[in-house]
Amino acid sequence: MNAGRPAQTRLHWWWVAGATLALVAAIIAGVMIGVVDLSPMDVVRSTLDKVPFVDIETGMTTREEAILWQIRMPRVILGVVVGSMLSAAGAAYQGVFRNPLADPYLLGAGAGAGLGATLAIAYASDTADWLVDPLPLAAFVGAIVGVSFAYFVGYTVRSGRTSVTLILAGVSVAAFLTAIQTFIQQRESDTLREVYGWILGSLNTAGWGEVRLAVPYVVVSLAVVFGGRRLLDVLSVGDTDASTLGVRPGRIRLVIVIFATLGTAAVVAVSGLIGFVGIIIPHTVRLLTSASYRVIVPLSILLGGAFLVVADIIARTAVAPAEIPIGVITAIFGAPFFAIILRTSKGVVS
Amino acid sequence: MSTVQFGSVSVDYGAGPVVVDVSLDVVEGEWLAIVGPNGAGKSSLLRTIVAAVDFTGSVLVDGQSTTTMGDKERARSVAYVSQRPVYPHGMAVFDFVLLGRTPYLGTLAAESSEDIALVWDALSTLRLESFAGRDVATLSGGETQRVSLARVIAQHARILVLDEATASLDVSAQHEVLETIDALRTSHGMTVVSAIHDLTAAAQFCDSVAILEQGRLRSQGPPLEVLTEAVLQDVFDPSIRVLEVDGNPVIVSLRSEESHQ
Repeated sequence: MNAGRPAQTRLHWWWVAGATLALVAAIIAGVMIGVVDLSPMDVVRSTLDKVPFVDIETGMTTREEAILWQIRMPRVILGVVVGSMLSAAGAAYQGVFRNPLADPYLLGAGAGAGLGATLAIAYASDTADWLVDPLPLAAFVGAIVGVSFAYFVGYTVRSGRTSVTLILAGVSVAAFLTAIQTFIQQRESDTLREVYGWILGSLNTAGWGEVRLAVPYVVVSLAVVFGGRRLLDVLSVGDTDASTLGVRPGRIRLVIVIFATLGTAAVVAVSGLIGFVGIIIPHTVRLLTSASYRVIVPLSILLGGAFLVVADIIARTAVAPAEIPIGVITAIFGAPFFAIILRTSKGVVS
Repeated sequence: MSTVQFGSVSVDYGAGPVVVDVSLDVVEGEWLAIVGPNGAGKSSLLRTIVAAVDFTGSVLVDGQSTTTMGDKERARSVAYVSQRPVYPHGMAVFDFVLLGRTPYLGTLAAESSEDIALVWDALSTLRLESFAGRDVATLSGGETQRVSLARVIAQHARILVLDEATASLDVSAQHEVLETIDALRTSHGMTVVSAIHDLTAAAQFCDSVAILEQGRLRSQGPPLEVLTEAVLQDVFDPSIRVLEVDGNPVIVSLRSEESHQ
């Protein structure tokens, strides 16, 4: 008798090791590269110095330490958090909707967050004495409201509750919310630049506060998507077949969408609408490794984080001291890269 | 025990009834063919067994109502192969067959080595071991049907529901798949309920045939008693003839003289 799975269906340890290595290398590069270059050994020493009960001479000046720990590290960590979340949410959405074009903004999370952020920027500009910054809160709430609205519309369709009706509901809700957002943006044209900058996404406001804000939601969300990766494979045979295998597709879809949206809303709140990551990372993993979500989800989490950190390095150094919106970088570099993968890979995008 | 009992089953999708008051018993170990013209309600009737459609009346599997059984409990008793199964691009044959173990796993649980071994057993039964790593979407029609049957074996269900499982196959592939189903029925003690278009195959392979006409049960019984020329001409088309070749019924549609001219 054969033992174990065939090689083609395994999550090989060297894939995980390679993706982890890419993530670690991206993090080190992310904190090293900038206007002030830091040496990789100093970065490693300073990181080890932060470990409890370890005391190492870092060789860095106080200013360099401040650049590393107050400016670069939170930004890089936020890049990891945002990239991992958007990639995992993209994979989850593609799985539950059996649609290769699905991304984390599909059901109105992006449009809702965009409207929320626009409202905050246009009508709550003087926030110095506010207890909480209204911008991330408005974006977070907007994303949740957008998806809830889409789910409500999709699930009250009389002809049947399918993933297609849900996607169509999401498309109409997104169009509706974007229309309102555009209207407000046009009425309040003095805020146009700020709104536009937010919509293209950026990590330039990142501090530890933003990381702390997003991480709890992202951890819970990633845990649910990771835990549900086998069920995403079950859904890939269609709702009827999946239900005859003893699962409830509608319920799985709802739970996955709730948690993927929660994580997406949290990262959008602190980084704006960074596009393309949720599409290209899961598909690149799928094309290079396996079509099974057991493989796609963990590798997307690791590589999504690495990709966004690298994109952010380019965004903040290419035309320094100015910054390019990170959404522009993810598309400019991501699209040709993905086209090459698509042309050369033997894998299939289902 | 592995039986199916339909009690006054009706299905209505909202545009008029498609199955009307069907009462029917499938006894343990038998192969029941449900035949009838397109739109007669065959698929809808089959889907009531796996609770994939809303219906009135009762469908009992081993004496238990399919609507009150738990989803996993039902999936452990009944395996279903749909008319056009989805074979996801890029999914390995092994992973597709492994899905058959779903009813035995907790929501977040992973498959055990025992599940993996059962999948190898199922692949071995259908001589598919060398296909384990192949992309399921690249296989031929006959091969994919065997892969679906391997998933059924991995599912360890005693009742097999097949909805036109051989409709898209050529004659030899269809014959091979039907022989495989018959062998599984004997070796794994399965009860089979299948919708089938090929009346000759129904007559040769099945123990019992039920004819559906416009959602209603026209008749049920052994093939030779039910599939008579008079009934088939009435239900399907006047051109139908029942011939006999080596003692087996062969059901064909003959072109009329006028059509030739």
